[in-house]
Amino acid sequence: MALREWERSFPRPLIDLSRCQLVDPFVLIFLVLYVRRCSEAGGRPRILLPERKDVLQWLVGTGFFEWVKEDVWTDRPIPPSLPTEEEAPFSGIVRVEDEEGIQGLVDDVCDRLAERFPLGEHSIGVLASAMLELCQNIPHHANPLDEDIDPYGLAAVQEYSDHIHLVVMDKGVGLQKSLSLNPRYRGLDDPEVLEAVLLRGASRFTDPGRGGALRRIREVVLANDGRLFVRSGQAGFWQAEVEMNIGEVHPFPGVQVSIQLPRALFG
Amino acid sequence: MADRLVRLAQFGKRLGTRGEGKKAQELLWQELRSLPEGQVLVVDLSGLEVLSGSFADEAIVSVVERLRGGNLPGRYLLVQAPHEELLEDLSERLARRGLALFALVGDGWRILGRLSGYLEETLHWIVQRGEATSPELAQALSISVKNASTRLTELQKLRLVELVPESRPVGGIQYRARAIISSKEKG
Repeated sequence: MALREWERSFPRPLIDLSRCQLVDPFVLIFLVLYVRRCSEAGGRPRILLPERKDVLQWLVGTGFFEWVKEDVWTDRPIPPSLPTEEEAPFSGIVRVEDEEGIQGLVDDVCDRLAERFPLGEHSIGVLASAMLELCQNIPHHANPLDEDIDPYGLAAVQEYSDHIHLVVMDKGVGLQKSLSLNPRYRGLDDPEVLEAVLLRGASRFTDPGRGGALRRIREVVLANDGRLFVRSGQAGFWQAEVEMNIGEVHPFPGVQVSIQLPRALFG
Repeated sequence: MADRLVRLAQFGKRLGTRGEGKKAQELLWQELRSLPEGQVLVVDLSGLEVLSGSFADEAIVSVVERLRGGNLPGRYLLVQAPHEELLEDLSERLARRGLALFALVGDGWRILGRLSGYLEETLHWIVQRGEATSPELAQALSISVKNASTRLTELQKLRLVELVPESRPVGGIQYRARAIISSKEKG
Protein backbone atom coordinates (compact mmCIF):
# COMPACT_ATOMS: atom_id res chain seq x y z
CA MET A 1 0.00 0.00 0.00
CA ALA A 2 2.79 2.43 0.91
CA LEU A 3 4.57 1.88 -2.38
CA ARG A 4 1.41 2.69 -4.32
CA GLU A 5 1.19 6.00 -2.40
CA TRP A 6 4.84 6.85 -2.92
CA GLU A 7 4.65 6.10 -6.62
CA ARG A 8 1.94 8.75 -7.09
CA SER A 9 4.50 11.47 -6.42
CA PHE A 10 7.56 9.63 -7.74
CA PRO A 11 10.39 10.68 -7.79
CA ARG A 12 9.63 13.09 -4.90
CA PRO A 13 7.42 11.02 -2.58
CA LEU A 14 6.64 11.58 1.06
CA ILE A 15 7.80 8.52 2.98
CA ASP A 16 5.98 8.59 6.27
CA LEU A 17 7.73 6.44 8.86
CA SER A 18 6.44 8.50 11.78
CA ARG A 19 4.15 5.81 13.17
CA CYS A 20 6.38 2.85 12.42
CA GLN A 21 6.61 0.34 15.26
CA LEU A 22 9.27 -1.70 13.52
CA VAL A 23 11.40 -1.42 10.41
CA ASP A 24 12.45 -4.89 9.33
CA PRO A 25 15.42 -5.53 7.00
CA PHE A 26 13.13 -6.05 4.00
CA VAL A 27 11.63 -2.58 4.42
CA LEU A 28 15.02 -1.11 5.23
CA ILE A 29 16.77 -2.45 2.12
CA PHE A 30 13.73 -1.67 -0.01
CA LEU A 31 13.87 1.94 1.21
CA VAL A 32 17.54 2.23 0.22
CA LEU A 33 16.66 0.84 -3.20
CA TYR A 34 13.66 3.12 -3.56
CA VAL A 35 15.58 6.25 -2.58
CA ARG A 36 18.24 5.28 -5.10
CA ARG A 37 15.59 4.90 -7.79
CA CYS A 38 14.14 8.34 -6.94
CA SER A 39 17.60 9.87 -7.00
CA GLU A 40 18.37 8.38 -10.43
CA ALA A 41 15.11 9.96 -11.69
CA GLY A 42 16.22 13.35 -10.36
CA GLY A 43 14.04 13.35 -7.24
CA ARG A 44 14.64 13.56 -3.53
CA PRO A 45 12.13 11.85 -1.22
CA ARG A 46 11.03 13.46 2.05
CA ILE A 47 11.14 11.17 5.04
CA LEU A 48 9.11 11.68 8.21
CA LEU A 49 11.31 9.97 10.78
CA PRO A 50 9.89 7.42 13.25
CA GLU A 51 8.48 9.01 16.41
CA ARG A 52 9.49 6.03 18.51
CA LYS A 53 13.02 6.64 19.70
CA ASP A 54 14.02 2.97 19.66
CA VAL A 55 12.83 2.53 16.07
CA LEU A 56 14.64 5.67 14.95
CA GLN A 57 17.76 4.63 16.84
CA TRP A 58 17.67 1.20 15.20
CA LEU A 59 17.32 2.83 11.79
CA VAL A 60 20.27 5.11 12.49
CA GLY A 61 22.30 2.19 13.82
CA THR A 62 21.83 0.19 10.62
CA GLY A 63 23.71 2.84 8.68
CA PHE A 64 20.60 3.59 6.61
CA PHE A 65 21.17 7.33 6.56
CA GLU A 66 24.76 6.90 5.45
CA TRP A 67 23.45 4.95 2.46
CA VAL A 68 20.84 7.52 1.44
CA LYS A 69 23.07 10.46 2.41
CA GLU A 70 22.16 13.56 0.44
CA ASP A 71 19.34 11.85 -1.44
CA VAL A 72 16.57 12.50 1.11
CA TRP A 73 15.05 15.32 3.13
CA THR A 74 14.11 14.50 6.71
CA ASP A 75 11.57 16.30 8.89
CA ARG A 76 14.15 16.79 11.63
CA PRO A 77 17.86 16.29 12.17
CA ILE A 78 19.05 12.69 12.23
CA PRO A 79 20.28 11.80 15.74
CA PRO A 80 23.76 10.33 16.21
CA SER A 81 24.11 6.56 16.41
CA LEU A 82 24.28 5.33 20.01
CA PRO A 83 25.92 2.09 21.11
CA THR A 84 23.34 -0.65 21.70
CA GLU A 85 23.30 -3.52 24.19
CA GLU A 86 22.69 -6.00 21.38
CA GLU A 87 25.69 -7.96 20.17
CA ALA A 88 25.73 -6.95 16.53
CA PRO A 89 22.50 -8.69 15.51
CA PHE A 90 22.40 -6.77 12.23
CA SER A 91 24.89 -7.54 9.48
CA GLY A 92 24.90 -4.03 8.08
CA ILE A 93 23.68 -3.18 4.60
CA VAL A 94 25.93 -4.89 2.07
CA ARG A 95 26.33 -3.95 -1.58
CA VAL A 96 26.37 -6.88 -4.04
CA GLU A 97 28.18 -5.97 -7.22
CA ASP A 98 30.65 -8.44 -8.68
CA GLU A 99 30.67 -12.18 -8.21
CA GLU A 100 34.22 -11.98 -6.84
CA GLY A 101 33.21 -10.31 -3.57
CA ILE A 102 30.26 -12.56 -2.77
CA GLN A 103 32.06 -15.45 -1.08
CA GLY A 104 33.86 -13.02 1.24
CA LEU A 105 30.70 -11.20 2.28
CA VAL A 106 28.83 -14.46 2.93
CA ASP A 107 31.78 -15.68 5.01
CA ASP A 108 31.75 -12.43 7.02
CA VAL A 109 28.05 -12.77 7.86
CA CYS A 110 28.21 -16.51 8.55
CA ASP A 111 31.40 -16.39 10.61
CA ARG A 112 29.70 -13.88 12.91
CA LEU A 113 26.66 -16.14 13.18
CA ALA A 114 28.92 -19.14 13.83
CA GLU A 115 30.51 -17.33 16.77
CA ARG A 116 27.08 -16.66 18.26
CA PHE A 117 25.57 -20.07 17.40
CA PRO A 118 28.36 -22.63 17.62
CA LEU A 119 25.84 -25.49 17.33
CA GLY A 120 24.04 -24.00 14.37
CA GLU A 121 26.29 -25.32 11.62
CA HIS A 122 23.44 -26.88 9.62
CA SER A 123 21.27 -23.75 9.74
CA ILE A 124 24.16 -21.43 9.00
CA GLY A 125 24.89 -23.68 6.03
CA VAL A 126 21.29 -23.30 4.82
CA LEU A 127 21.53 -19.52 5.17
CA ALA A 128 24.96 -19.36 3.52
CA SER A 129 23.85 -21.49 0.61
CA ALA A 130 20.78 -19.31 -0.01
CA MET A 131 22.82 -16.14 0.32
CA LEU A 132 25.50 -17.37 -2.09
CA GLU A 133 22.94 -18.28 -4.76
CA LEU A 134 20.78 -15.18 -4.32
CA CYS A 135 23.73 -12.80 -4.33
CA GLN A 136 25.27 -14.27 -7.47
CA ASN A 137 21.91 -14.07 -9.20
CA ILE A 138 22.40 -10.29 -9.17
CA PRO A 139 25.56 -10.12 -11.36
CA HIS A 140 24.29 -13.07 -13.44
CA HIS A 141 20.63 -12.18 -14.00
CA ALA A 142 19.74 -8.63 -12.89
CA ASN A 143 21.07 -7.07 -16.10
CA PRO A 144 21.71 -9.95 -18.52
CA LEU A 145 21.74 -7.80 -21.67
CA ASP A 146 24.03 -5.19 -20.13
CA GLU A 147 21.48 -2.42 -20.48
CA ASP A 148 22.11 1.08 -19.18
CA ILE A 149 20.72 0.35 -15.70
CA ASP A 150 22.33 -0.12 -12.30
CA PRO A 151 20.71 -3.14 -10.58
CA TYR A 152 22.09 -1.85 -7.27
CA GLY A 153 22.14 -5.20 -5.49
CA LEU A 154 21.91 -5.12 -1.70
CA ALA A 155 21.81 -7.70 1.09
CA ALA A 156 21.36 -7.80 4.86
CA VAL A 157 20.86 -10.29 7.67
CA GLN A 158 19.03 -9.48 10.91
CA GLU A 159 18.84 -11.64 13.98
CA TYR A 160 15.60 -11.59 15.98
CA SER A 161 14.66 -13.39 19.16
CA ASP A 162 12.70 -16.00 17.20
CA HIS A 163 14.14 -15.96 13.68
CA ILE A 164 17.00 -14.97 11.40
CA HIS A 165 15.97 -12.77 8.48
CA LEU A 166 17.94 -12.66 5.21
CA VAL A 167 17.13 -10.11 2.54
CA VAL A 168 18.67 -9.87 -0.93
CA MET A 169 17.30 -7.47 -3.52
CA ASP A 170 18.01 -5.48 -6.64
CA LYS A 171 16.26 -3.15 -9.04
CA GLY A 172 17.44 -4.83 -12.22
CA VAL A 173 15.36 -6.16 -15.10
CA GLY A 174 13.36 -8.60 -12.97
CA LEU A 175 12.56 -12.27 -13.42
CA GLN A 176 10.10 -11.85 -16.29
CA LYS A 177 12.54 -10.08 -18.58
CA SER A 178 15.43 -12.33 -17.62
CA LEU A 179 13.44 -15.52 -18.13
CA SER A 180 12.06 -14.34 -21.48
CA LEU A 181 15.59 -14.71 -22.89
CA ASN A 182 14.76 -18.42 -22.95
CA PRO A 183 12.26 -18.83 -25.83
CA ARG A 184 10.48 -21.54 -23.86
CA TYR A 185 9.29 -18.99 -21.29
CA ARG A 186 8.61 -16.00 -23.54
CA GLY A 187 5.19 -14.41 -23.10
CA LEU A 188 4.64 -15.42 -19.46
CA ASP A 189 3.25 -12.77 -17.11
CA ASP A 190 4.79 -12.02 -13.70
CA PRO A 191 2.74 -14.55 -11.65
CA GLU A 192 3.40 -17.26 -14.25
CA VAL A 193 7.10 -16.44 -14.17
CA LEU A 194 7.23 -16.74 -10.37
CA GLU A 195 5.47 -20.07 -10.60
CA ALA A 196 7.83 -21.30 -13.33
CA VAL A 197 10.95 -20.20 -11.44
CA LEU A 198 9.99 -21.18 -7.91
CA LEU A 199 8.02 -24.34 -8.53
CA ARG A 200 9.47 -25.71 -11.76
CA GLY A 201 13.05 -24.38 -11.59
CA ALA A 202 12.80 -22.47 -14.89
CA SER A 203 15.91 -20.68 -16.08
CA ARG A 204 16.87 -18.27 -18.83
CA PHE A 205 19.53 -20.79 -19.84
CA THR A 206 18.74 -23.83 -21.95
CA ASP A 207 21.70 -25.62 -20.35
CA PRO A 208 20.07 -28.13 -17.93
CA GLY A 209 22.74 -27.55 -15.29
CA ARG A 210 22.03 -23.83 -15.02
CA GLY A 211 19.27 -22.14 -13.02
CA GLY A 212 16.94 -23.73 -10.53
CA ALA A 213 18.55 -22.00 -7.54
CA LEU A 214 15.36 -20.25 -6.42
CA ARG A 215 13.37 -23.50 -6.53
CA ARG A 216 16.08 -25.23 -4.50
CA ILE A 217 16.07 -22.38 -1.98
CA ARG A 218 12.27 -22.66 -1.71
CA GLU A 219 12.56 -26.40 -1.03
CA VAL A 220 15.28 -25.95 1.59
CA VAL A 221 13.41 -23.11 3.34
CA LEU A 222 10.30 -25.28 3.39
CA ALA A 223 12.22 -28.25 4.80
CA ASN A 224 13.56 -26.03 7.58
CA ASP A 225 10.19 -24.53 8.58
CA GLY A 226 11.20 -21.15 7.23
CA ARG A 227 9.34 -18.45 5.35
CA LEU A 228 10.04 -17.16 1.87
CA PHE A 229 8.84 -14.10 0.00
CA VAL A 230 9.90 -13.32 -3.55
CA ARG A 231 8.70 -10.23 -5.33
CA SER A 232 9.30 -9.39 -8.97
CA GLY A 233 7.46 -7.07 -11.32
CA GLN A 234 3.78 -7.11 -10.41
CA ALA A 235 3.75 -10.40 -8.53
CA GLY A 236 4.73 -11.70 -5.12
CA PHE A 237 5.21 -15.28 -3.93
CA TRP A 238 4.68 -16.18 -0.27
CA GLN A 239 5.53 -19.45 1.39
CA ALA A 240 5.08 -20.13 5.10
CA GLU A 241 5.11 -23.69 6.38
CA VAL A 242 3.09 -25.68 3.84
CA GLU A 243 1.08 -22.67 2.62
CA MET A 244 2.07 -20.85 -0.53
CA ASN A 245 0.46 -18.18 -2.63
CA ILE A 246 1.15 -16.02 -5.64
CA GLY A 247 -0.54 -12.63 -5.71
CA GLU A 248 -0.45 -9.21 -7.26
CA VAL A 249 1.75 -6.43 -5.87
CA HIS A 250 2.44 -2.89 -6.99
CA PRO A 251 4.98 -3.01 -9.83
CA PHE A 252 8.61 -2.43 -8.98
CA PRO A 253 11.78 -3.20 -10.94
CA GLY A 254 14.14 -6.05 -10.06
CA VAL A 255 13.78 -8.96 -7.67
CA GLN A 256 13.35 -8.73 -3.91
CA VAL A 257 13.76 -11.83 -1.74
CA SER A 258 13.15 -12.35 1.96
CA ILE A 259 13.96 -15.55 3.86
CA GLN A 260 13.16 -16.11 7.52
CA LEU A 261 14.53 -19.17 9.33
CA PRO A 262 13.47 -20.08 12.87
CA ARG A 263 16.16 -19.15 15.37
CA ALA A 264 15.56 -22.42 17.20
CA LEU A 265 17.29 -24.12 14.28
CA PHE A 266 20.51 -22.31 15.13
CA GLY A 267 20.78 -23.82 18.60
CA MET B 1 40.70 -46.30 -3.85
CA ALA B 2 42.51 -42.96 -4.00
CA ASP B 3 45.39 -42.57 -6.39
CA ARG B 4 45.37 -38.83 -5.91
CA LEU B 5 43.36 -36.53 -3.67
CA VAL B 6 42.35 -32.87 -4.06
CA ARG B 7 40.87 -31.01 -1.12
CA LEU B 8 38.25 -28.44 -2.14
CA ALA B 9 38.55 -26.70 1.23
CA GLN B 10 41.57 -24.90 -0.25
CA PHE B 11 38.98 -22.69 -2.02
CA GLY B 12 37.15 -21.81 1.22
CA LYS B 13 34.74 -23.48 3.59
CA ARG B 14 31.55 -22.12 1.99
CA LEU B 15 31.78 -22.68 -1.73
CA GLY B 16 29.10 -21.05 -3.78
CA THR B 17 29.99 -18.96 -6.80
CA ARG B 18 30.45 -20.13 -10.37
CA GLY B 19 33.64 -18.07 -10.64
CA GLU B 20 35.26 -19.94 -7.77
CA GLY B 21 33.87 -23.17 -9.20
CA LYS B 22 35.67 -22.52 -12.49
CA LYS B 23 38.98 -22.16 -10.66
CA ALA B 24 38.38 -25.49 -8.94
CA GLN B 25 37.38 -27.06 -12.26
CA GLU B 26 40.70 -26.01 -13.81
CA LEU B 27 42.59 -27.56 -10.92
CA LEU B 28 40.64 -30.83 -11.09
CA TRP B 29 41.11 -31.08 -14.85
CA GLN B 30 44.83 -30.42 -14.52
CA GLU B 31 45.10 -33.16 -11.88
CA LEU B 32 43.13 -35.60 -14.04
CA ARG B 33 45.30 -34.88 -17.08
CA SER B 34 48.43 -35.65 -15.15
CA LEU B 35 46.95 -38.86 -13.73
CA PRO B 36 48.19 -42.12 -15.33
CA GLU B 37 45.50 -44.20 -17.06
CA GLY B 38 43.56 -46.50 -14.77
CA GLN B 39 43.88 -44.20 -11.76
CA VAL B 40 41.29 -42.40 -9.65
CA LEU B 41 41.17 -38.77 -8.53
CA VAL B 42 39.30 -38.26 -5.26
CA VAL B 43 37.73 -34.88 -4.60
CA ASP B 44 37.74 -34.49 -0.84
CA LEU B 45 34.96 -32.34 0.61
CA SER B 46 36.11 -32.50 4.23
CA GLY B 47 36.40 -29.11 5.90
CA LEU B 48 33.52 -27.71 3.83
CA GLU B 49 30.38 -26.31 5.39
CA VAL B 50 28.57 -25.44 2.16
CA LEU B 51 28.84 -26.75 -1.39
CA SER B 52 26.27 -24.87 -3.42
CA GLY B 53 24.73 -26.12 -6.64
CA SER B 54 26.36 -23.40 -8.73
CA PHE B 55 29.86 -24.12 -7.45
CA ALA B 56 29.32 -27.87 -7.71
CA ASP B 57 28.06 -27.57 -11.28
CA GLU B 58 31.13 -25.64 -12.43
CA ALA B 59 33.76 -27.43 -10.37
CA ILE B 60 32.67 -31.07 -10.42
CA VAL B 61 29.67 -31.71 -12.68
CA SER B 62 31.29 -30.08 -15.71
CA VAL B 63 34.36 -32.28 -15.21
CA VAL B 64 32.21 -35.42 -14.95
CA GLU B 65 30.40 -34.34 -18.12
CA ARG B 66 33.69 -33.95 -20.01
CA LEU B 67 34.81 -37.39 -18.88
CA ARG B 68 31.42 -38.81 -19.92
CA GLY B 69 32.00 -37.18 -23.31
CA GLY B 70 35.06 -39.37 -23.80
CA ASN B 71 37.85 -37.02 -22.76
CA LEU B 72 40.88 -38.30 -20.84
CA PRO B 73 40.10 -42.01 -21.24
CA GLY B 74 41.05 -44.26 -18.37
CA ARG B 75 40.88 -41.54 -15.69
CA TYR B 76 38.27 -41.73 -12.95
CA LEU B 77 36.78 -39.28 -10.50
CA LEU B 78 34.85 -39.66 -7.25
CA VAL B 79 34.03 -37.52 -4.25
CA GLN B 80 34.50 -38.21 -0.56
CA ALA B 81 32.44 -36.34 2.00
CA PRO B 82 32.13 -36.32 5.79
CA HIS B 83 28.31 -36.30 5.63
CA GLU B 84 25.44 -36.73 3.16
CA GLU B 85 24.04 -33.23 3.52
CA LEU B 86 27.03 -31.75 1.72
CA LEU B 87 26.23 -33.84 -1.35
CA GLU B 88 22.59 -32.88 -1.92
CA ASP B 89 23.08 -29.99 -4.34
CA LEU B 90 25.87 -31.80 -6.19
CA SER B 91 23.66 -34.85 -6.67
CA GLU B 92 20.77 -32.72 -7.91
CA ARG B 93 23.01 -30.99 -10.50
CA LEU B 94 24.44 -34.33 -11.69
CA ALA B 95 20.92 -35.73 -12.09
CA ARG B 96 19.85 -32.75 -14.16
CA ARG B 97 22.62 -33.50 -16.64
CA GLY B 98 21.92 -37.25 -16.61
CA LEU B 99 25.26 -38.05 -14.95
CA ALA B 100 26.31 -40.25 -12.04
CA LEU B 101 29.27 -40.22 -9.67
CA PHE B 102 30.54 -42.35 -6.80
CA ALA B 103 30.56 -40.71 -3.37
CA LEU B 104 32.34 -42.15 -0.37
CA VAL B 105 30.51 -41.12 2.81
CA GLY B 106 31.77 -42.36 6.14
CA ASP B 107 32.62 -46.03 5.58
CA GLY B 108 30.03 -46.46 2.86
CA TRP B 109 29.39 -45.37 -0.68
CA ARG B 110 26.47 -44.16 -2.73
CA ILE B 111 25.78 -43.05 -6.24
CA LEU B 112 25.08 -39.35 -6.78
CA GLY B 113 23.04 -38.07 -9.70
CA ARG B 114 20.93 -40.29 -11.93
CA LEU B 115 21.54 -43.95 -12.64
CA SER B 116 18.85 -46.29 -13.93
CA GLY B 117 17.83 -49.16 -11.68
CA TYR B 118 19.35 -51.86 -13.89
CA LEU B 119 22.73 -50.08 -14.01
CA GLU B 120 22.67 -49.54 -10.27
CA GLU B 121 21.97 -53.25 -9.74
CA THR B 122 24.88 -54.09 -12.03
CA LEU B 123 27.20 -51.64 -10.34
CA HIS B 124 26.40 -52.98 -6.87
CA TRP B 125 27.18 -56.49 -8.04
CA ILE B 126 30.51 -55.45 -9.56
CA VAL B 127 31.57 -53.44 -6.49
CA GLN B 128 30.72 -56.40 -4.28
CA ARG B 129 32.76 -58.76 -6.45
CA GLY B 130 35.47 -56.25 -7.33
CA GLU B 131 35.38 -57.26 -11.01
CA ALA B 132 33.30 -59.14 -13.55
CA THR B 133 33.14 -60.21 -17.18
CA SER B 134 29.98 -60.10 -19.28
CA PRO B 135 29.37 -63.87 -19.06
CA GLU B 136 29.80 -63.79 -15.26
CA LEU B 137 27.43 -60.87 -14.94
CA ALA B 138 24.92 -62.47 -17.33
CA GLN B 139 24.85 -65.62 -15.27
CA ALA B 140 24.57 -63.82 -11.94
CA LEU B 141 21.78 -61.49 -13.00
CA SER B 142 20.03 -63.95 -15.34
CA ILE B 143 20.36 -61.73 -18.38
CA SER B 144 21.86 -62.30 -21.80
CA VAL B 145 25.59 -61.85 -22.34
CA LYS B 146 24.82 -59.13 -24.86
CA ASN B 147 22.68 -57.29 -22.32
CA ALA B 148 25.42 -57.68 -19.69
CA SER B 149 27.97 -56.37 -22.14
CA THR B 150 25.79 -53.33 -22.92
CA ARG B 151 25.45 -52.57 -19.20
CA LEU B 152 29.20 -52.73 -18.69
CA THR B 153 29.79 -50.44 -21.63
CA GLU B 154 27.29 -47.92 -20.27
CA LEU B 155 28.91 -47.98 -16.83
CA GLN B 156 32.30 -47.57 -18.42
CA LYS B 157 31.10 -44.52 -20.38
CA LEU B 158 29.88 -43.03 -17.11
CA ARG B 159 33.37 -43.75 -15.69
CA LEU B 160 31.93 -45.87 -12.92
CA VAL B 161 33.85 -49.01 -13.88
CA GLU B 162 37.09 -49.63 -15.73
CA LEU B 163 36.98 -52.05 -18.67
CA VAL B 164 40.21 -53.99 -19.02
CA PRO B 165 40.77 -56.13 -22.16
CA GLU B 166 41.95 -59.69 -21.66
CA SER B 167 42.39 -62.77 -23.84
CA ARG B 168 39.50 -65.23 -23.89
CA PRO B 169 40.41 -68.88 -23.23
CA VAL B 170 38.72 -69.79 -26.53
CA GLY B 171 40.52 -67.06 -28.42
CA GLY B 172 39.77 -63.39 -29.06
CA ILE B 173 39.39 -60.54 -26.57
CA GLN B 174 36.92 -60.05 -23.75
CA TYR B 175 36.56 -57.17 -21.31
CA ARG B 176 36.71 -57.41 -17.56
CA ALA B 177 34.95 -54.66 -15.63
CA ARG B 178 36.75 -53.51 -12.51
CA ALA B 179 35.14 -51.41 -9.80
CA ILE B 180 36.86 -48.09 -9.17
CA ILE B 181 36.00 -48.31 -5.48
CA SER B 182 36.77 -51.11 -3.09
CA SER B 183 34.09 -53.46 -1.76
CA LYS B 184 35.28 -52.56 1.77
CA GLU B 185 33.15 -49.45 1.38
CA LYS B 186 29.61 -50.58 2.08
CA GLY B 187 26.98 -49.52 -0.44
